[in-house]
Amino acid sequence: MKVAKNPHSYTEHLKEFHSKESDATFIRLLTTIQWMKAIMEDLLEHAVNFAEKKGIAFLEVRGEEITKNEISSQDDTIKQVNSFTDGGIGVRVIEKGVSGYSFTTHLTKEHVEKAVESAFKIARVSQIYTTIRLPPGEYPFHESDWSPSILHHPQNITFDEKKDLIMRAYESAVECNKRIATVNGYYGEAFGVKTFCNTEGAHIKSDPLIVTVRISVVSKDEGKITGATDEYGGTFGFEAFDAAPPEQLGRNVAVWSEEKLHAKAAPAGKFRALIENKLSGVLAHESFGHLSEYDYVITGGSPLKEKKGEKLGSSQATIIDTGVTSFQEYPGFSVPFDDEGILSREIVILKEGYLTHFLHTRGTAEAEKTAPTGNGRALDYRFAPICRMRNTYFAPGDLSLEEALDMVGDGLYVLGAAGGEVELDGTFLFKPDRAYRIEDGEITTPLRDIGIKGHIFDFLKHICGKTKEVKLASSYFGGCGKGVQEPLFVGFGGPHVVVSEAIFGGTE
Amino acid sequence: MKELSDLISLAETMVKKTRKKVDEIEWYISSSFNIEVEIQGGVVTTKEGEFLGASTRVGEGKRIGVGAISNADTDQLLKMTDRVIQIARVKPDDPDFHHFPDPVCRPSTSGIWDEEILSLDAGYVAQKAHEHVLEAQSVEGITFVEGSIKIQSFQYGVANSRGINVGDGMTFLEANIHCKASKGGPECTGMEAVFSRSLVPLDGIGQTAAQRARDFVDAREAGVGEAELILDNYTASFPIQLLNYGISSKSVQEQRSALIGKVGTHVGSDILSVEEDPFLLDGMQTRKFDDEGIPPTRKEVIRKGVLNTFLHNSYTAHKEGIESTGNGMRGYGQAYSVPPYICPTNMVIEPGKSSLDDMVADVELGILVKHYIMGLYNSNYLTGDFNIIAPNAYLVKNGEIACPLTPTIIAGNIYDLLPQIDAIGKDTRIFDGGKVPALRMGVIKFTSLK
Repeated sequence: MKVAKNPHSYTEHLKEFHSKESDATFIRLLTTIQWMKAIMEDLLEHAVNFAEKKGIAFLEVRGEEITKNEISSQDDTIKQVNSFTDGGIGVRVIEKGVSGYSFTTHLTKEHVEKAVESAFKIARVSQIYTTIRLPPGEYPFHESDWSPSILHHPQNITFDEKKDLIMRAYESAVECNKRIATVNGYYGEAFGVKTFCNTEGAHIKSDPLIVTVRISVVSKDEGKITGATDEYGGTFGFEAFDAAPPEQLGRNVAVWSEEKLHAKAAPAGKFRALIENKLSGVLAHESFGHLSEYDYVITGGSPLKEKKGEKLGSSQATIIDTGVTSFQEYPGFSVPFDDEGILSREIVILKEGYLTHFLHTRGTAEAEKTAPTGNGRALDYRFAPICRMRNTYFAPGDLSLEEALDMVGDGLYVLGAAGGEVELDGTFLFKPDRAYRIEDGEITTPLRDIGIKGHIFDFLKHICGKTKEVKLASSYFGGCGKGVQEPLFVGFGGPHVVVSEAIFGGTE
Repeated sequence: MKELSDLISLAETMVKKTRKKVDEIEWYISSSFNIEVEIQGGVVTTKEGEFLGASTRVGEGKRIGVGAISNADTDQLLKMTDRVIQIARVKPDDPDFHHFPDPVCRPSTSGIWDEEILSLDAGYVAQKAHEHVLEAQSVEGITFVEGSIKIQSFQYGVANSRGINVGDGMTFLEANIHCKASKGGPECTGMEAVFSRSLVPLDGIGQTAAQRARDFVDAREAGVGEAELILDNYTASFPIQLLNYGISSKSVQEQRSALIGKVGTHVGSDILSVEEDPFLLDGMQTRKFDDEGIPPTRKEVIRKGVLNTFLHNSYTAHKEGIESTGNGMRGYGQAYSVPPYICPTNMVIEPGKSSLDDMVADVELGILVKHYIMGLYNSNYLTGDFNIIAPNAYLVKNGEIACPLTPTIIAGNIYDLLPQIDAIGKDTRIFDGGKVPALRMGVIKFTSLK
């Protein structure tokens, strides 16, 4: 067992923290509650030592303290400023390939011991009901420490600067559209420390970060009411707002909500279509990514079972999932390590239509006799890690947007993602945020609410072109859902994607 | 697990310790214990845990600050108070904030607190989940089963410097089974879900879910068209979930409700009455106080088609110079992490006289949607437009169920459909937000293509 000793005692740390606090003027929103950090490492070490004493063969323990700060506004008034610091410890015991999980928010040795005992007991009682065992395999221990490479971390940014982001978006929106009835602005940030230890001696620390500005407007005219929302988020510092100023979000929602006032009913049936970056990402994530999570595959829940190596899509269909991207302006959400302590690596799930890889936890990787991929993620300390995506996107193509529109000819242009779901049989439903008709390669009539429905295999076969640019979306205000673990921060996106056929449900 | 009296007492103590620092202060302390078992294929995932946390709201003039922490250590809470006061002091004024709520004395009732649920251990819950999964697997044609059981207890205490000092506790049981079936061709799905405040028999839920999946192995497509929509008493909860957004006074005050200016007018057909009932004996949302400490009231939200009222928490109510309707909620579990928003307790649609068979018998061309739907949360809550998928829909022709359909898109607008309701079922069913009967809702657009 190798866990770095905390250089400070709890008392010393508190003393140091208090002296800093007394000097500090209020330039920040609440930052992490430092005292948790001080005791967390001791408790993690205690959990591992206690497990070893109890003869537990495999135990992981995760300590987390994450601060979430939110500012919300209505029109030009700041309505709420909230700060929530969430800290706790989660313990997983794997006994003969069966896991037991327990967690606590009581940061004492007594409660951590209780959590270890509880996880151990649960792993044992679950043995008799388990037919598929997922032993974790063996990995050499390692130590790592990761922080995002950014210039201006939000914890060093004043409240006024954060508030101004949503005020700037608001002013830009109302300047562009006089029919706006109300504007809601939201700023959200989450950051803190996640620490992971296990009985193999791993000791991994990372500082997750997500920042998001969201703007939402309602426009009204002659009894009609429409809304539009735009946001910009991901793992980045405040320098990102130089290249992507919030005024653009304000202008976007102003224009979109105005267009929707005059939108026509959307048609129903099969159409050629152009799918924009964010929506193509939702399709990659929902329609395919979830089904490539190997826990669904091994249990028979995914239609991808026994399809590895098969051609499932067109040669344009390449889907990637990775932990940390190199996309500068739209980086998605960085996941350097998963919650099993595995270093994230890039996985090409679907390559030119062929199913090449699945996404794995340690246990599912062992079952497929392959290496884990860094996809064992948990929502927070209250949950055990399961197979989850990180940043999922269609690889770029070689078309310009104009060429992609020409390729569609006559059809539909669908953008943004109001949501999406996929059923176990591969059926999906996605809800674009906006839609337009494409006529003779030109974007024409705005359309009202529309849904895209289909089956993943049909959809992937109909991909016939992609544009060059890739954008990944990520948001503090939403994320991926799987079972009860939602919303998990993820990134999703890609280029514009052209499909020769998709099923749309409108009300025309 | 802390006792309810401990939580109320801690909230009161914190108010006493901090009230002199600021104009007004509120403390909310909650704790929750849960056991969850999920069985997916042959993989069993079981966990149990307990969380405890606190939230404070401070009012300084026209400014509010909110902070929360997953801890109830008094020293840490005091430290958080100082930080939240700092937040409130740098924040600009909010002209709509007046004060935190005053105590209100009126009849209210706690929902079920079932000690039997609390006596269960993880091993017993795992055994029960396993039995339901086995039951589903034993049905011919079933290719995959996942099931879960969750039991939870939740308690909270809330106190403020205006004299509120109350709390409540509740227990929950939720069970789900989800199956896939196939005859060698495309797979289809079926599910069953049970929500209860007390320990109830779950026998047969595996078989029910499996049979529902099996019923769709020969599903057909019906093309694209218009038809009358019939919702059974499972799926009839979806109009309520859209309506809840429209009747929230926050939506109204922010110009985001399609029901603005509609109080006193017909928004539904004459046979539609919807009540918010915080006293419902078996209701999942029955509670003695909302999360601001106000007893919720019974309200006739829609009576014979006429919209009567919107729902308020203290913030939206005081903005209009009225009192809160007791709908300031924070949810369950980590409730302390969420400031009070507006949410109804149990929304109950008054049952009618029809059986589901009667409702089908009058329909020339219809879509009967049963058991569950997908994609509701993607709906346009602002306008009421929805595009949902019904995995278990049937085509109705000439008064009879003609055939099961492949997953079908149903598109329409809830505010257009409420006035078209022309039949309401007599049998109601509890869902996690209230109790509803079957509804026949008028004409929608369907897309049923493979």
